[in-house]
Amino acid sequence: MPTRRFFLRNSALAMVGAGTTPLWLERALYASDAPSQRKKILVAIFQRGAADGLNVVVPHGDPAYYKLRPNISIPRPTADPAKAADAAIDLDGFFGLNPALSPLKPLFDQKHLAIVDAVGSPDPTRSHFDAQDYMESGTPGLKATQDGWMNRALPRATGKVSPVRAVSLGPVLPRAMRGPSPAIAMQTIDSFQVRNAEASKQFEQMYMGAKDPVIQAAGRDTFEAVALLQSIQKQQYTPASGASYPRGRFGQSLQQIAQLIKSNVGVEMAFADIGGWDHHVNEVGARPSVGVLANLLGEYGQALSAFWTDMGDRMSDVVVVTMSEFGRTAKENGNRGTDHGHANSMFVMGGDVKGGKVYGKWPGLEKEQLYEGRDLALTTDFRDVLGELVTSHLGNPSPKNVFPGYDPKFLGLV
Amino acid sequence: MDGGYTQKDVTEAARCFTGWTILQPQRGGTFSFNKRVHDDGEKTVLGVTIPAGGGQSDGEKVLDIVARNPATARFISKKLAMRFVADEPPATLVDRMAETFKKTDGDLRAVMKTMLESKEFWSQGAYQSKLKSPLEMVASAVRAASGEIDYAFPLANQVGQLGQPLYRKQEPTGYSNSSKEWLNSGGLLARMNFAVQLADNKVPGVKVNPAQSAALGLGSPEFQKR
Repeated sequence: MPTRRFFLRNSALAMVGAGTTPLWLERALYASDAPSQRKKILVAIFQRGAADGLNVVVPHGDPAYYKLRPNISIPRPTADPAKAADAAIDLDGFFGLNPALSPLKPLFDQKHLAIVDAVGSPDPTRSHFDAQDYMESGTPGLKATQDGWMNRALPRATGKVSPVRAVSLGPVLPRAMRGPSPAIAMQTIDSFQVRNAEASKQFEQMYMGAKDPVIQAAGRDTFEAVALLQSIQKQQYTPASGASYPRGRFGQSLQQIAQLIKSNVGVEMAFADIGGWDHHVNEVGARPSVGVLANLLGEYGQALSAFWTDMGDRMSDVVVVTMSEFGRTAKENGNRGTDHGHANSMFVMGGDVKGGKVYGKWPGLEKEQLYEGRDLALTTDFRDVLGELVTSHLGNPSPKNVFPGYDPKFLGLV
Repeated sequence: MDGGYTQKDVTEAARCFTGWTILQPQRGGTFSFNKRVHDDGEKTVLGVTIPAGGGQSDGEKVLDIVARNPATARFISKKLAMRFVADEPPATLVDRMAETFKKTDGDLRAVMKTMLESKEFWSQGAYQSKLKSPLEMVASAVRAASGEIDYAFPLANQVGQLGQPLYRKQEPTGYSNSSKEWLNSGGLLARMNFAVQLADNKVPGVKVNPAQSAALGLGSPEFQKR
């Protein structure tokens, strides 16, 4: 016997005229909204494992940096073409990019990439788990926060709401997106379906009728998103302008986010993460352009650059922001690596971003300038960066509700 | 962390364990204490002074200090209650379990007994209140379908697809014990797809008895609970 939902789906066209459109259908129709309704989109990227900000955005103008890292520093920028591949790429005479991030330099020059330095969470923890938890909940030091900052940041819905309004690429929904507003996790757009049409229908019925309200709600969100994504799944996706995403999960995640945004299915917030930054040992190889950090940064930079190219003009609606739970010790350790530290850097990229500049106050790396005598000190709270993007870009008027107990001070990034 | 220790305690404890190592780890490995690389100075861990010259006993003392710290009693009791009762276990239950832990010098059997005999454990709210983790879901589905496993690697891959790649958790804390970690669209769809594949005998390395394997049962909301 056809279920009620089955019936509705098959008479969808008739229903539109009748003016009694069911909610799920309204949501599906969101896809065909006029371009003038285009919403602003925030893409957040988490570098899990605590990236070494000092070797990512290199303070080559601070001599203390080279004293603290005799074996694993990134050399000062050079005009010598034979050495340039292993030297920092100068940004402003003081900071330089790790050479593995060369794909991002044009974006900085075109003023679409801004960097915030000496930024992070004020909580002193050096536990990956706690620091990620605090950064994702948006409440440093507070374990009891139930939901994540991205979930709270979703602007109040007016009318139709897309079931893929907030989407995370990966097997689990990150802490940052958990909360009362629907948000979904997917490994890939293609895999987001039950690969058996008959079973899919029956599962949908079962989950809609589940006794546990939490499972029922998750099931409802899931099957609404499945219905919406069906049309995209049938299309072959080719990145625009020859954009070339790197192999690996992170590049794939960004490509899927680009595809979702360009398909106009109503994405307002997206999340992707890239792990493997916990470089206690052999962070830098025989030369600065080789080794684990260089490899990972290469993948990271190429993915961000490909996303930019692929998105094209659409980047005027998008801001990408990156973060990592904390930085690493200013001094190198005995294993050509670095240990858990404090402040770090963040990247902000987008069509309307006031880029081409390194924001934030440099605290210095002399012993008495270091946090607890060992780490880069913090001069900007990560909530200042995210709060500004939530307010000035996404249009959420109350950043204080997104970051309870904190009043973000804007840097003028957008 | 909430355990009331500082970064100083971490580095002091690390000093106590200097010299603890493993002999030939690739061949099974046995414990070994290398006196030459041990920091033999005085240390203070969680307010307790460990005199200089203790050698291997420094690390053993740290284990005793940590085991008898009240925060440990609470921490372990809460973990157990989260595992067996609810994601947010009643504080009164955790307190009683921690009390038993302290009274019995950490006898986990006694702590479990306190939990199993509690009214909270047997309450209506605690019944099937937890969502199975991906590992529990895959293992219980294979068992429910009387699966015979030739090689387990594809099944382990499935556990990863469901969101819990085995031994690949980045943080040393391991996977969350909370149902929220697993309740999301991608994970639910992956569970349904696994149920369909398993029941159709399409997961390599495992054969199920078709008579006992209904995809709809294994993928149902009820089967995801424990």
